[in-house]
Amino acid sequence: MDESFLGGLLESNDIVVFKKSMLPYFLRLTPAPDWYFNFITKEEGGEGCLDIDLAPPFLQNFFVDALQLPRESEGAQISSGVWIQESEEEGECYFEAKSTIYGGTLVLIIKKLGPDFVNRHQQIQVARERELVNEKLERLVRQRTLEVRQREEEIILRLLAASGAKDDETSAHVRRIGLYSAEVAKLLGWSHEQVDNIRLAAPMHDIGKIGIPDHILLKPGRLTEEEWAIMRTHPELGAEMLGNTDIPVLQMASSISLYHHERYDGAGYPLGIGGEQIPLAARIVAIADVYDALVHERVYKQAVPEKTVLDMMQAQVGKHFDPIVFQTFLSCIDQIRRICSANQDDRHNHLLMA
Amino acid sequence: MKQRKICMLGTSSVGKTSLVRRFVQSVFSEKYHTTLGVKVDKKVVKSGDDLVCLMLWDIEGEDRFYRIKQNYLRGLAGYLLVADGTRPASLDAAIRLKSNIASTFRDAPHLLVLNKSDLHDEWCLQAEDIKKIASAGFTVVSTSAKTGENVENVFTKLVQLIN
Ligand SMILES: Nc1nc2c(ncn2[C@@H]2O[C@H](COP(=O)(O)OP(=O)(O)OP(=O)(O)O)[C@@H](O)[C@H]2O)c(=O)[nH]1
Ligand SMILES: [Fe+2]
Ligand SMILES: [Fe+2]
Ligand SMILES: [Mg+2]
Repeated sequence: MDESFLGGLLESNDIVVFKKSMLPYFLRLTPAPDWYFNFITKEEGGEGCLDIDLAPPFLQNFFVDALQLPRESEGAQISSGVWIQESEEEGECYFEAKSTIYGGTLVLIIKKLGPDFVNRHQQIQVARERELVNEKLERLVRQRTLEVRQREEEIILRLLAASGAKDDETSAHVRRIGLYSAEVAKLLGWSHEQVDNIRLAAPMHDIGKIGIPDHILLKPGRLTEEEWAIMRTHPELGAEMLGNTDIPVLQMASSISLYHHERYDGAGYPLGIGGEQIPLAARIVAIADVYDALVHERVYKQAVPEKTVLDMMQAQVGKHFDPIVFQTFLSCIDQIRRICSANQDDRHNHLLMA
Repeated sequence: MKQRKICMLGTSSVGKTSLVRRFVQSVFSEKYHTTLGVKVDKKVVKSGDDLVCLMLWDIEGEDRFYRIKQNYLRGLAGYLLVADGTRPASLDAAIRLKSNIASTFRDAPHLLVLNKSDLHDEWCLQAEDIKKIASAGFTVVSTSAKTGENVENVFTKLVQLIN
């Protein structure tokens, strides 16, 4: 072996160099510092001999890679990566091994990592600790946001229950509509935030009804043409109440209110627009609202069996309902049913009505 | 004596080193001293009538500062995927790790370890997370390196799966 290659290395007390001999031995080419005997091997196989089979497990694993270095790949080098050994004398120390082909011979270098490495360790330690703090802060913010959201939701639902107490819109009904709509929106690929928004906004679709006089809203019999005309102003009334705001959830609620009686074929009200011109949120809510109203009993009507409801609605696809949204609604019908049966409790409403 | 290589995998600071230290030396430290690279510890355990020498490969947590070298996993008999029950992100990391190595070590027994079970107040896995765990097909054990809860168990269980 050429002395010049070893020149620098020989002087270093951090490095021990070997060349491959008959397996399982490597021959040591440099003096052995104390750490070498403490951490790597006591050279049980004879002085100057590193017996692979008796080496630390990490190093043994690295030999497998080292021995695969092709002889003819002169100068090629692989590293073991850092590993840790512990000894009674020195505690934990860090090491790295390298292997290279030099003059057609496999050479192994083991290095004990010094102060430079300790610095690097310190840097990564600090970076990881900082990362943990950031992660925790993010978690806290997310949790707080959720709490605020839940509070908003509760306030909205209670006010709605109070405002809807006169007619037939129960608080459970509006809550379900929010939940169904959110489910469909999720499947349509909406963002987390938008899904949250529709869950809160959908329940407000009929809020305009508080502007309709009681003698019309609560009239038991058929409405006259004139009364109907007044009744049909509730989408615009609601849109006005909720509109003119920078708050996204209210903007969405306003738009849902305005368009929830539009029909896909353009035969709805108040504007008589159709298809994609109707905002998607309103197309979703229209389906959720009709479904829930039909499957439940109302003062003036009995509950319709769900199968019949779905058939009736299917017949309205392309007329009243958007085909794709209805398809999506059907594809999560199991989830819709679960939501439906889990949200029958109307205690809030009864309390508020009392 | 039979030797078995077991790898401790998971993102940083979930308690891989602490679990090994609790298991091998029965000690625990609150101070976080991140592992760089790999440390191999040994412990002899009973498996049925036999003694088995476990080689516990505690590998630096995979995160944005570090990628595990596939070479380190060579010859593993089983592995523990460690997550921290107070950090949902660590669970995602564990699931990712599993899908990365499952192709090479399809049949290697493994357990998902939800560590730090002593931190009840900060424990924050949601129903959604539990679903994720189930659909990734994990067997879960929750442990505390601090109190020692289930630490012996989780290693014993893995050894049973290996044999
Ligand atoms: N309360 C509690 N703290 C724990 C537990 N296990 C580990 N810790 C703490 O969590 C921090 C990280 O533990 P480590 O064992 O160093 O984590 P690691 O997975 O080895 O981390 P890296 O080496 O950076 O990948 C330390 O401050 C430990 O004291 C536990 O069960 N309970
Ligand atoms: Fe309406
Ligand atoms: Fe309604
Ligand atoms: Mg560690």
